[in-house]
Amino acid sequence: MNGLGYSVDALAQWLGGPEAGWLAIAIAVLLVQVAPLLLAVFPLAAVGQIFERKIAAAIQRRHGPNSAGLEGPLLLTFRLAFCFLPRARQDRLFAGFCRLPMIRSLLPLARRLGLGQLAADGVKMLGKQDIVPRSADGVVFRLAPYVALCGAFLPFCVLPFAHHVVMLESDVSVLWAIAVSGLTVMALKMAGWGSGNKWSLLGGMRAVAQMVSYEIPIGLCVAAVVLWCGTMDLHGIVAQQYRPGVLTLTGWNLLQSPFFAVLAGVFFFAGLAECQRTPFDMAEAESELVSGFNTEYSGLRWGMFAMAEYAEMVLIGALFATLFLGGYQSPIGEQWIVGLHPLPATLLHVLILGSKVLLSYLTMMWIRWTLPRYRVDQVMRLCWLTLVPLALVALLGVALTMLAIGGVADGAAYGRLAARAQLAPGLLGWLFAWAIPVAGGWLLIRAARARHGQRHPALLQLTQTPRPGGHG
Amino acid sequence: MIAAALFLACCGLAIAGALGAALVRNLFHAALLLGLSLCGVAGLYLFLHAYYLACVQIVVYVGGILVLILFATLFSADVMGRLQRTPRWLLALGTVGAAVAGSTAWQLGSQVLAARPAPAAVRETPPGHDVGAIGDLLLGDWLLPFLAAGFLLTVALVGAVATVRRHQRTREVAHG
Repeated sequence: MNGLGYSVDALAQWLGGPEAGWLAIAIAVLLVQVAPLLLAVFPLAAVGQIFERKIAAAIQRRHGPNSAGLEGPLLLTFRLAFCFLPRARQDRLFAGFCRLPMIRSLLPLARRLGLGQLAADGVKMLGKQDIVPRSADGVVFRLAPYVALCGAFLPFCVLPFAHHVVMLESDVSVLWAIAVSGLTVMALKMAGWGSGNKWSLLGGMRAVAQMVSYEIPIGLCVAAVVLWCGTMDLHGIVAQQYRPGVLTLTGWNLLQSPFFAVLAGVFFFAGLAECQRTPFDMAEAESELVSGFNTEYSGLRWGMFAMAEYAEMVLIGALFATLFLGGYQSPIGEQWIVGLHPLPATLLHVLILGSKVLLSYLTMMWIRWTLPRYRVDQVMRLCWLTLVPLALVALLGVALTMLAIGGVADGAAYGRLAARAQLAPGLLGWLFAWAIPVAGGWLLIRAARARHGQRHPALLQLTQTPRPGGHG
Repeated sequence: MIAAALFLACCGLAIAGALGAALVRNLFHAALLLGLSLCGVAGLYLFLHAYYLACVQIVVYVGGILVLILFATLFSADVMGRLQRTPRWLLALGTVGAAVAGSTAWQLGSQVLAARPAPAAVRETPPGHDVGAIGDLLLGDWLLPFLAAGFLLTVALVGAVATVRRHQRTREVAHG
């Protein structure tokens, strides 16, 4: 499935040939692919919001949006589409349309699900006044949401959506994803400072401190995966996780060693913190900072921040899937999917990646509506005293595992994408990789128990730290 | 054509950002303009097919050092630009110095460029596939400096954590 790749190449040629290099290709990507991507991700973010409201309602035993139907938006669409007809004819046409058997049964369902809320929210957001406070730093204040969008959307350029469907193929795509998502930090800083408001500034500072700190465990997790796979190319990382045969999922990084399970957990929590989601939403703690860095934003500019947050959730889910869950590969029988015609194979791959993303999306929402938020010091302590050491130990463990089971061999060819220098440990090596760390960890815990009993410092700290529940 | 325009845009971004960072009175704006300049330089690296270097430039300078600078900026006495005005004589002296330095650099640069031999086929790897080569260099010829730098950074990291923890403990003791 090189259609997308070819179109970019052709456009890059047209823009100035190979000497134009990466930048021309980047522009081409912008024109050919980012535009559709934006068109796809913007509604996704909007849908994410309504999805979240329904899930929050389900968790809190409420109904959520349940009375805005789709009649209004549909009527508007009808009026626009048949604007050449007189109004009475339009109404009669619409009434006829609503009586169609399928539509008649679906419209009440849409109303009960509150799908119309999406359109209402969108119109409300577009229609709000765009206010810039008098004390704000005008240019910085206005630019911040755009920078946030850049930071949220640019990483998608290197994400492999399906076999050979990736916008920019590069040897360093993982690094690129991490680098440009760092732009969000700048955006939050600009928003916090530019608002000319103490709460915004405090929220911005908290957000920046949090994001800068949590980038370190994320970087360590990525480093371990890069070490294991021997490539910084996301597409290569996916290819390394391919195994021929029925059980493709035996190749997933998550299952390679217990250290990867630890790394996956660290990555997910750090990613949650990068998205500023509960329990890490100290930066926009509404009960003390009004709304943090986006207090002063309204209308579309606020919408951009919200969009960036949801896009970042999708990004973290997609990176998690790519690094640990085999990317767009099916858990079983990937070899038959690759053997299919490119078009259905691509569709299947996109669907599989989408369902993996949806899984982490749901988990993030579940966490948000279940757990209270951490205090600032707890956020920092969790990062520096728990996640960073865990990631460091796991990184060391992955390196030692590689030394122990060794055996760098040529990997199985995955479609046209040959896996380079794949670790092929075999069943014995795999058992070894699991048994030694698990046994070691068990012995360590037993030794600690025997030495300290229940008075182990970590246990004491856990029981003495006040619960964060009071902050709501 | 478009490549040239993009190249010039990157140059302009780097130069304008740098000039702005030096000349703007608002410290916060100056730091942001410095970020613009750094991004422009990253774009120039892309033109040299040094993708890894471009990514590292963004990670380290924009994502790391610039954020640090911004934090430091906010702690400075007067961010919004009511700083002491530069004296006239210092401005004049600076202009003369810049002119001398610029002309010297121009002369030297043109002579060096003229004397430079034609570049042989330097690149062995195809463009955009230089990570392996960099890795070989770092873990081969330059292993010792690389490890030393890594060790230093680790010590600094652990030291920072330890320092903060000691402060916390004394504060807890002080507060009873």
